[in-house]
Amino acid sequence: MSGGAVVSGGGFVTAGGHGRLGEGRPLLFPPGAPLLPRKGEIFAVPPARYGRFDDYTRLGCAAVALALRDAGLEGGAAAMNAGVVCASGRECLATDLAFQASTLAEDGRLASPNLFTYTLPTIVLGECAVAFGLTGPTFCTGEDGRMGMTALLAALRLLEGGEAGAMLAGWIESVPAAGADSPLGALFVVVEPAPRPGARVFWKLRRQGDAVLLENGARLRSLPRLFAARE
Amino acid sequence: MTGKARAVILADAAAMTALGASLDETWEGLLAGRSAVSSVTRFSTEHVAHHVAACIADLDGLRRAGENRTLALARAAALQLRALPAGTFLIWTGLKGNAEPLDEAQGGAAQALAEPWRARHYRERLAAALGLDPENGMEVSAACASSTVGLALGAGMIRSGERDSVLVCAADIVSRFAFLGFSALQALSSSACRPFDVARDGLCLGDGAAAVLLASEETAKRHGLERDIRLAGFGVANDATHITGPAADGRGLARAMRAALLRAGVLPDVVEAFCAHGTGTPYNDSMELSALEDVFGARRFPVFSIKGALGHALGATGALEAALSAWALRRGLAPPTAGLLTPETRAAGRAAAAPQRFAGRNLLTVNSGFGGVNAALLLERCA
Repeated sequence: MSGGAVVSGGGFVTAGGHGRLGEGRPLLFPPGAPLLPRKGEIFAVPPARYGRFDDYTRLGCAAVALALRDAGLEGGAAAMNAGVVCASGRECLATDLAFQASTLAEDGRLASPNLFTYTLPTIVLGECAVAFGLTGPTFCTGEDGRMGMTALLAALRLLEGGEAGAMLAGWIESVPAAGADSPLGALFVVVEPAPRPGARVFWKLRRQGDAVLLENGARLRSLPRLFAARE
Repeated sequence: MTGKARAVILADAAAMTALGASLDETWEGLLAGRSAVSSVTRFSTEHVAHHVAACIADLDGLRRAGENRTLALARAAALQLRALPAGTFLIWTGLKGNAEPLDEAQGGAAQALAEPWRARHYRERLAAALGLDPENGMEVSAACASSTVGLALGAGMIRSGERDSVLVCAADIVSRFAFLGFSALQALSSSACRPFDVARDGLCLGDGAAAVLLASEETAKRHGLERDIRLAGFGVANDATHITGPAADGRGLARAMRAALLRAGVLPDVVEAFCAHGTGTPYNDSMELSALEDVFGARRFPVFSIKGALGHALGATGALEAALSAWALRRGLAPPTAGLLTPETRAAGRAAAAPQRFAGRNLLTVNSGFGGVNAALLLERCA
């Protein structure tokens, strides 16, 4: 079973900075915490609750904002029944740990409601839905080491099934693996079922079972590959 | 999608809840109007304002070496399935697998304890226990609509011809982590979950696991599985209004419901019963009634919630409700809504404390969750 789609934009935030597919800046993963851009750099209108976001949510929301801007959909996703799927391994573990710590004092009486809200890995997608009018499917997939490919596959299936007019597919990792030097950051791409008038097409993709193929027939092995120069 | 869409059969289902160790027992308890909600003894609730949930008495008794309670519950439920076709794709939809290890963690050990219990680990371990290929599956997390979204994705795979069988499986238990979180949000009931009641004051959490096997008609026939219930339509939509509060007008849920009906190629008129998310929180139930009125107008038909009896099993609740909805369709009987004493005005003539008969042809089951997600499944009984 197969289906085609186009990538019309992308955005990323890592310890090396932030960028968009259309800018051609290389996507690098130097060691260290991702450098979150200032609100004014990425949002025309910052999300109302931005000050309450945890790092995982800020990271994801920033990458989604950059991807939508890149696709020319910063203010236009609402009309497209667009959805968002995200893969993450450790999800919002830092917030989980902070919430759990808040429950230890006074036998739970001081448990933090705001922290608890952000212990759901899909809250970042909900915040993006509110901020950008994403009314399509929103959910997280498990990360399998291919940095967002599970999300891209799910997004392509939804487009093929006609369940959304456009999908954002991405990856967020804000917590390093215990005792390991693992890449941190967030990246999202906008995928659409067909080229949109006036929009750029960065890549044409084709799903074949559990594989995603590039235009030249090569297998896409990780989402960051889409941010690398064409070979 | 190319070619003709295939029918999606709900070929088998299994469950374990605080009301029963099987789907049959749970159904019988529901039908009798029993509730498993009682005082929490699993952890101390002395210093918070909420004290009840629907817990399975001896979860530890289910554990095998290397399992935690959540995985043991999922495995025990899934092993009740009659057959699993070779090549079955497994979708794990448990919501917060690291809550249980975090309950047992203190200080610096917390991350190390939590990391081996990510969603992927549950799926891989469950696949091994069921004799399935651990590489053949995925994990889906969509808050309290997780397994409903998982079922929608699985149905899409079968409908398109990509897979012949998909197992959607989840378990969530009443953890201290989740209990204290919902308590802090003032989302829990102080006494009992009363969906659609004028005096409802919040949800009750519940232990629960469910496994729902979807298959193509040919695969179900080949394995001697039930073929009378079809998952005829599905839809997923986001409110895009708020992350914890549902859209008051039910716009996202109404869109998900309409998408499910559209995919099934039917009009709203065919729906005869409605398995509500029905958490018993003032806002959720009101939102659902708004969505019902939006899609179905003033027409009244049986509406039920199982959460007054079983509590809210979070990621597992959608699969539990789909499984119990199949039972309801086969019997043409909507189970009572436990905890309901006086329906609010818009629920009158819909939700009831007694079983309600319907023709047993079409039923819509829905779930909504934090982050604004909504999902709807249309089940159809074939002659």
